[in-house]
Amino acid sequence: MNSETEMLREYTERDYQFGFVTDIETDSLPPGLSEEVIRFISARKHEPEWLTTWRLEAYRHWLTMEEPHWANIEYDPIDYQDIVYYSAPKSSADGPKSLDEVDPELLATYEKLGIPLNEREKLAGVAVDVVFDSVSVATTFKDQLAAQGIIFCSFSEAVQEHPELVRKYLGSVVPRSDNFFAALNSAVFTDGSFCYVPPGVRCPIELMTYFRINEADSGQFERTLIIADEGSCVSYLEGCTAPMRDENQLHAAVVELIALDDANIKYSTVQNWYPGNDEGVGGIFNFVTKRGACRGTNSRISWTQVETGSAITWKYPSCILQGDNSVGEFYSIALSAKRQQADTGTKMIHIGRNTRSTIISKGISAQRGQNSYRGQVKILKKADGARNYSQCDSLLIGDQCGAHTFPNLDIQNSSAHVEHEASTSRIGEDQLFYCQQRGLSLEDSINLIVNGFCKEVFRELPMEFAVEAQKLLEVSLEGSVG
Amino acid sequence: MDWEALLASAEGPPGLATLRRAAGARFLERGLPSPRDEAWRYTDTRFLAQQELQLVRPVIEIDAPDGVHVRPLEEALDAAEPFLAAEAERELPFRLLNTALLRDGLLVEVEDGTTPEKALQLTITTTHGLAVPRLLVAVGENARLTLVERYRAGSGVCLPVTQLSVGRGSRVEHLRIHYGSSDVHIGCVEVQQQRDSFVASHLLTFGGRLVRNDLSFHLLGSGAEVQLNGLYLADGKQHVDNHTTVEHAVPHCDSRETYRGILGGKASAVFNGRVHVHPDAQRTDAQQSNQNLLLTDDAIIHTKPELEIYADDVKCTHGATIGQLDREALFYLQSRGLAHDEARRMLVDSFAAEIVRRIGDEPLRNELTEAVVARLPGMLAEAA
Repeated sequence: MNSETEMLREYTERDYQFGFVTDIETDSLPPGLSEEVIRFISARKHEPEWLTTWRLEAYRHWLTMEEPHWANIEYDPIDYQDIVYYSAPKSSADGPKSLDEVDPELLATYEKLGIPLNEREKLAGVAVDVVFDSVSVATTFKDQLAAQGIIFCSFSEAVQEHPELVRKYLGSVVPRSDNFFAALNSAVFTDGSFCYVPPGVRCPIELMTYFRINEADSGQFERTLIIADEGSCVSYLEGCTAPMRDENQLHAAVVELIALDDANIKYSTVQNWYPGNDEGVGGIFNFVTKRGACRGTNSRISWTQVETGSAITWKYPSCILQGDNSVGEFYSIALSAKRQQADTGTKMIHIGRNTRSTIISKGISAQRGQNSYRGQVKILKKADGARNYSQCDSLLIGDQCGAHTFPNLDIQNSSAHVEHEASTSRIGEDQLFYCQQRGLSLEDSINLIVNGFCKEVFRELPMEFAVEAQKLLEVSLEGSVG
Repeated sequence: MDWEALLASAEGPPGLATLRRAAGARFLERGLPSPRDEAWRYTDTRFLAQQELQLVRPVIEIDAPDGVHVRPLEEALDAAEPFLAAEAERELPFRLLNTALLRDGLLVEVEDGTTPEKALQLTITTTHGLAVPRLLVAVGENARLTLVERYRAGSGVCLPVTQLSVGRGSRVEHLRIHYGSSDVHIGCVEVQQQRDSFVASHLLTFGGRLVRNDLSFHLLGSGAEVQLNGLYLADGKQHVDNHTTVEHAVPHCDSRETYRGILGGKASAVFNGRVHVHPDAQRTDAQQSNQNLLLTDDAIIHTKPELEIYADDVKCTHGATIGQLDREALFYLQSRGLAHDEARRMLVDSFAAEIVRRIGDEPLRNELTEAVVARLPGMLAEAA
């Protein structure tokens, strides 16, 4: 163990001693959820009174709600009293000491994805000085951002430093009472990201959670709030192509985006959490509420997602198109192999005039995966000249998988133009034959076809991300043919 | 509305008493659907509970060609047995109510290899009260049948249920036409198709205060093919809700669905089309499309085309569009000297004709072309 690591550990431990305000000795709560737990979390984070009340109200509302079961997914009931809702930031001592202790299968995946050696360690949760590297990288970026007036920090930091912004926007897109999981998140969220881009500023870099300090303790109930002020522009990347070490089974995050006049937000996700073994045991449950509000005229919000991980994905990134001429976009690739289940899609609510939305969804089911697209396009009475185009394609690989499409179109204005198209098919034998005849192996042929199938979505991802995502699909599909 | 009293006082053939009681008990237990049920989200039928409805017997005119046997249900209980066996366990509340009040049923039989020259036409007229007609149709093997159900209603509530069983290699064309005004019409059609059979189903709705149709098609033998055509015209405060389900239970079956709607005034419409491909139903080819024309800003459409697919060697597509008349097409026609109103009528008419022209039987096709032509000017004038 070198001295830097020790310095790091010392630093974290010290930090956390000072962090204590309550006289509770332990740094983790026992499993269970009650008002005390919420007060404890809030107190531990030195939150102002209004936020504690906000959480408690969310909790009280949550108690009156029932877990939704309309999605096309199956899982054993979740015991909400059996979850640890707060544990202090993990010290490096918890993780594996070196790569030798990491699951070899995980390492093989990193190898295939071509992830640099030092990053592999961070991803696998190995506590080494690489963390230092990324901290310093992050600091450099932070200076650069601060110079332009961009605020990009952890959610807890934002609560302390910019309470007026948090208070103004928190819950304004996803209300506390929105749905079961959003209410739960509102009550117990521990951390997340906060970003504010001031008027007229074009964010010079792609913001990544990966570079954010305190990433390790954002926990299973993550809260993200991004505000793009008038005329600003920001691109945000979430997640990572490499499988993350994670011990929490239930993830219920909430993401809120707010775009004011002429603002532009692009939110890209690559999700590759543990999908469970071949029998589907032990995978992550991903119940996420993501919603963006195009508040201003000419604003634009674009969601791009590549979902390959998690045992269960339940996620509908949505756009509320309030401002006139605002634009909402949704590009998605959802892959479910093994016994994964994905029920994902989007909602486009057209409120303003001349609002436009585009939905491109590509579902791939392999082995025993079940993949559902569930979407809603709603055009309200006042939304003159609204336009929507949706395309949902599904690809089936193997005879035990399933692909389903449940679009809802609700139109209340006669000047609307709404189109929905969907198709489901498997990879054509003639296509495979053609590729193989040209000398490609069966696996390469399938990769080629799958990549072509997903091209429209890859195009929307930032360049390096797209390359990685492409590789990720190939790795995830391995073994599903033949 | 006291359903219990209604069920207790209803009369019917003694042979069906057990079935009726069982269906009645299940209906009472489930009650009327509420908007909380996904399938009834946009169609609220709870107002029926506020009404005092008298059970009435509908007037049914029968025009049966040679080769088609039509018998009242009470005289054909044995033959009706396969249709009714599972009726007390159904999910649809109004289908249960129909079974619970079952009295005016007809059993239609077409023997193997029979090909009647003309259509079997049934005209069902209701003017008031609650009517629950039931039609059971058994088409044998390698037979043919054109079946027309024509509903004419003034007011009142009609809950018709039609069950159609199509034998191997048979061809059936089924038309259900609803000429409504201020009535409530909640109907149900269930079709079972055996190997190599072909069914063309045409559902044409010309309004009514509230119209709901639940159609389900079960493709049970390889090589079966079904065509679902639908046209709904509504204006004023009319509400039309069509739910269709196609169950692809076996390999090598085709389904083609085309539903079109024209909505004016403050009309609202719902379309829910579900295609369910079962795990072994390889080589399924399913197409589905729903197109809607909104003539006014107050008209509302909710459309939900669903695909549920559990097999991999399939070709399934669906599409839905909602829009208004193409301005350029209008301009083109006007530039050729047609008046604006005439040009609009022509475009709307051709939109509807796409469905009507699929009807194979010529006299029926003409009847419906005229019905569309008669209905449109009012809708367009209101929208203008």
